[in-house]
Amino acid sequence: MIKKGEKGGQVAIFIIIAILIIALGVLIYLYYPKLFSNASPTTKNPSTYIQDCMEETIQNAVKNVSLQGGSINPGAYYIYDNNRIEYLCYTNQYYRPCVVQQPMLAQHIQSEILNNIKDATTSCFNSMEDSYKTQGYTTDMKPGNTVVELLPDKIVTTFGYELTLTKGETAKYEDFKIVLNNNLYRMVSIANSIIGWETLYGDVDITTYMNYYHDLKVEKIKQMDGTKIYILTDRNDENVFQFASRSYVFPPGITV
Amino acid sequence: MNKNILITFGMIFLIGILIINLTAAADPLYCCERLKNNPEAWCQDATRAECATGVNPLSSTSEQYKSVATLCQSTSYCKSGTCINAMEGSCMPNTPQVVCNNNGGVWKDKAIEDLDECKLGCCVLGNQVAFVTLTACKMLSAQQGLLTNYNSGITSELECIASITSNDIGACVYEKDYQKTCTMITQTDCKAIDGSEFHEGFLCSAQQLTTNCGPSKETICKDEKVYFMDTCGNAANVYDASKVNNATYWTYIQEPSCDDGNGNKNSRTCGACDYFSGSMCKTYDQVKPTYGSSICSSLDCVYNGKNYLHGETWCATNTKPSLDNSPGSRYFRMMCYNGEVTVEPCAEFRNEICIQDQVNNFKVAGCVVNRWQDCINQSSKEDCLDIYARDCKWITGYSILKIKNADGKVVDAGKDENNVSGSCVPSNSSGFDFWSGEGNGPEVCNMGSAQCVVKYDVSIIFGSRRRLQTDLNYRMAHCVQNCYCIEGYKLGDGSNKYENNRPPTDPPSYAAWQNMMNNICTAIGDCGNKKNYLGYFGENKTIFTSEFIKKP
Repeated sequence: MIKKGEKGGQVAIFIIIAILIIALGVLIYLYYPKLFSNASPTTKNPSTYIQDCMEETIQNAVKNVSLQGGSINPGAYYIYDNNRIEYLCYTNQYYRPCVVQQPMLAQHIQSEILNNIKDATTSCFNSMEDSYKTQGYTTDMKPGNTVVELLPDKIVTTFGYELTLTKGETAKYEDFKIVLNNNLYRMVSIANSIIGWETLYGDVDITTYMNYYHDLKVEKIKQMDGTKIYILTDRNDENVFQFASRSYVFPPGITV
Repeated sequence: MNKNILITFGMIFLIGILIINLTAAADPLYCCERLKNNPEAWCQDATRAECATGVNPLSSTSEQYKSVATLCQSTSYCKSGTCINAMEGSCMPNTPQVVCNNNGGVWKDKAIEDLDECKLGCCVLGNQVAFVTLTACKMLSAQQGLLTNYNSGITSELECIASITSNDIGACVYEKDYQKTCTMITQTDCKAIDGSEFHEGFLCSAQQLTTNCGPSKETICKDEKVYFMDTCGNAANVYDASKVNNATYWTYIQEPSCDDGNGNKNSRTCGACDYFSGSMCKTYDQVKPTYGSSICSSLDCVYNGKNYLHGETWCATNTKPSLDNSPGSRYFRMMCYNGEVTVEPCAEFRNEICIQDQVNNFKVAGCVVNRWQDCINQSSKEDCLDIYARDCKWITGYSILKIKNADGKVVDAGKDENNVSGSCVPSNSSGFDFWSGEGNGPEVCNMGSAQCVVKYDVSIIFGSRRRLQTDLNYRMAHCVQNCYCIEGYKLGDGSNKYENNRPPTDPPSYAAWQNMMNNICTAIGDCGNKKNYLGYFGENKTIFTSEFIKKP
């Protein structure tokens, strides 16, 4: 037999429990996506997934290309400091101006970066799709073109993939973008300007560029065979672009 | 008939030999569309063996690499012209047709300056400018969502950069989160904010604007200068410690009055930094500013205990001054920029030298071509010292150039205006890569070799050839010409016949003659008896020898 006072206490406990359950329900409703995204890294936003998966690959591709004069596998190169540095302008003769080897440097670099990240792109998107499938999503992924753009102050990689995720609700994700803060665009413009001088006069005064661009360091290192290594360094982030040129070379001694 | 056949065969045989000899003498140059081995460069004049063969992977029609026995400029595929990047609007000179087309460019058989689409102008992109073509300007403007603002009247990059103006910045007052706040932006940007008011010439900290922004004692770096920062984080006027509590200075946009005109390097009180005077806004390191943490940091350099100004360039070598132009030595151009000294080596083998000058105590240096090659061919002092044509010096006393006169006698060809013999030699001797044999080093050095013939007058009956070879005093007593070439000779040691008629241009001693000859020899290049750049002598060889010949 339950006493009257005891019965009142039980009701109070039940009410408190009910309030707690409702409060928990409200909290889950309010913070559902965050709670789950914190709890499981595999259910993160597709854009974040691609960012995490591809960013380092793109950074490495940009770094390799920048250290090697714009090509992953340069054909005409000079080995300097263990790097195969591409000749952007070259002549094998003495007393002659160099011949431009990469007249469309920006486009060439864009295509080199693109080629270098192609496999990783396919792999990342496939693994992302698999990851959603294992979480019970129905997926529909349509591959598209990937575009790398060198723009002032940034490098933008746009993946033209489309991903549709269905789990109760349907969500569509497209135009995945990764933006790197890198002023390779300016470095390439300066490299083109230097090559313009090299092919006309065989040399360039690098202080001119440092007077124009106060955060830029330009180095010119002449090698024994007349090759010049140009190293452009962004003083803000220490990003480097280096390339080689051989123009109007004077031989040792007298050679006809 | 048989005779004719024999002559014909003989002719064919001779022509054949001639052709074989000519072929062996020099491999003709081909225009290689691409070289075979590294560097696999495009459009190079090289021997046929150096040309790449096979299918050109960049050719859309799977064409073979071309090579034709002529210079590239004479071919259609490797002729140089201007390559236009139609998408970016950039132009590249001296580009072969095949290289341009392979990369998707438009090739034109014209010089870059003759093409309207390659003319550069000033493109205004918000607060920035770019010195580019009109096409490039349109593309850049579109990328940034701006209207194209292009000025083709500006013809230099410096002029373009100087045209950047930010005069129209003012206080833009608007409401945010139920508060009246303010940002320092342009009138155009301000108009884009709903309900905003633009106050030209005012700072956000102006009391009459009644915003939540007010004066503070903090500073901020902007446009390489130190600015006061208001409580909203906007840059106010340039930092001037004496005006930290000046209401006017916190109300209107004003120029600072503290500027020392020299960049205010490490000044505690003034933030008017100037890159070209050698300062730039940075977080303080050693000198703490009176207010805030930013300062006009000095960009000057200290190198080997000496101070250099930002932007100064000066010359250096890898050897002691006394060993300048010695084998292995090289010139360098040193540069001080942004507090850092960098090294630009001049061309190897002293094909470039470094020259330095000073303008108002500001050092300026540069690597320039060493025009030494034709010095030794100059027979007149005037031509030798023509600074517009070559970098040479004249050494009086001996001519390395000789000619045969009308009598068939070999005489000196190098003469100065007084008809005194001399030699033209490089001011800065060049080096040779003796290890690879290129550059004809031995042949060039050989120009400095000389033969000095001493004539002795000895009696046919009483003269002794043996004594002439062994007895120095006997030799001195009988020499009648060029006695200074006798080892140990000093003025007055020769025979009376010589000493009384001694030509005034003859060296006064054997040592002086030896010194003069060594100077000529060593000036020609890495020749003769001299130390290398580290101060070591090379292989020890006797460079002065003598022999006796009896002549009638």
